[in-house]
Amino acid sequence: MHPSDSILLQWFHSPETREKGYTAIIAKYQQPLYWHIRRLVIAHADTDDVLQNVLLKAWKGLDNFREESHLYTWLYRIATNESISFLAKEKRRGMVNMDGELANSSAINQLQAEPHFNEKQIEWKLQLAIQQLPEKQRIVFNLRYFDEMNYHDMSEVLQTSEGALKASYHHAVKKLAEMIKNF
Amino acid sequence: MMEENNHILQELQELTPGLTWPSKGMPFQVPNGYFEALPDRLQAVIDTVLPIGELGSGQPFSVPDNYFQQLSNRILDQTQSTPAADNGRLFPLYYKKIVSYAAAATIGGVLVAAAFLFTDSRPSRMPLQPNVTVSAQESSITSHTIVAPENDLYREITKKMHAVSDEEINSYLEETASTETIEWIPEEMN
Repeated sequence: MHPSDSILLQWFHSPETREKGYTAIIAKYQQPLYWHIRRLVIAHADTDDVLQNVLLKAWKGLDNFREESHLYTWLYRIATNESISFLAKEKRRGMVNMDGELANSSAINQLQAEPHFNEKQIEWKLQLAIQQLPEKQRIVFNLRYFDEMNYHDMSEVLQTSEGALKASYHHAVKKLAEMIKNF
Repeated sequence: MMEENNHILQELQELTPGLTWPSKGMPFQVPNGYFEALPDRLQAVIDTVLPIGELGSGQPFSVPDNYFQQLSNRILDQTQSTPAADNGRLFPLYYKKIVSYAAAATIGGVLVAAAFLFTDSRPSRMPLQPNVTVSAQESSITSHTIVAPENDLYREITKKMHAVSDEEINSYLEETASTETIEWIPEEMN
C-alpha cells in the first residue's frame, strides 16, 4: 500500500525526508507511467529513456508543484509530453532515413519486432490497431481504456476540454471496433 | 478506480454493442527486476548529475538568509526615513496649469508665424502684380494686342484691307479654298 500523495509531497518538501519521499513517489508511479509510455513508444529501451527523463523532470519540478492538480495527473502530463516529444524526434529522424515512409509504420515494425509478438493473439492485434489511430486519439484511448482515467483527470493531463476528449475517445472506439470485427 | 472501470465498460457497450473487447493485459515484456532497480538507478543519476540541494529548486543562484522576509521592511524603513525636503521643490497645482497655458500659447505663436512665412514665400518666387483694377488690366491688355484700334499695326492692316476689293477677295478664296482640306462640315452647311 502506497502512502497518499499529500504525505509523499510532505516528505519530499522536507530536506530530511526528501530522498525518501522521491523514492516513494517513484515506487508508487513508476509502473503506471512506464506502461503509459511503453504503449506510445513501444520499445522497452526507448520507454526506459523517456521514463528516466520524466522522473528527473519531476525531481526538478516538484519544488514548484503546488498541488493545484493531482500529483498523478501532473506526472502523466510530463510523461505524455515527453513521449510526444520523443515520437516527434523519431518521426523527423525516420522521415530523413526512410524517404517519407509512413510515420506509424515504424511503430508497427517495432511491435512486430517485440520478442513475444504473436500476430494471432488478440492483445497484439489490438496494439497493432491502436497504432493506426491518429496520435491524439491513440493517447486518449490508452488513458481511458488501459489506465482507466476519468475525463476530468484526462483534461488535466492533456489540457483539453472533457467534451473534446469524449469525442476523441468515441472516434477511436468506433475505428478500433471496425478493426476488431475483422480480426 | 473500479467504479470508473464500470463506466468504461458501459461506455464501450453503448458505443459498440455486442462487441467483445480484448483484455487489458499488456502483451509486452519487461526485463526481470526492472521496476525494483529503477528507483536506485534514478537516485544514482540524481546524485551524480543533479546533486541534492544544489539543483533541487532549479535555481543556481543563492540569496542571503531571510532576504525576502526582510525586503519589504527594509523598503518601508527607507521610505519613512527619507525627509520630504529631499524629494525636491514643491509647486502649487495652479503653477502647472500656467506652464501648460504658456506652452500652448508659444506653440500657437509658432504656428501663426509659420503660416505667415509660408503665405509670403509663394509671391517671392513669383513677382507681385501691382494692385490694379479690372478696367486698368483690360486697357493694358488691349494696348499690347495687335488688333487694338489704336495700335499702329492695326491701322496699317485696315488701310491695306480697304485697298483690296471684295471681288478680289472672293476670287482669291475660290482659287485657294478646297473642300478636301475640310475634314468636317457641320450638317447645317450641307
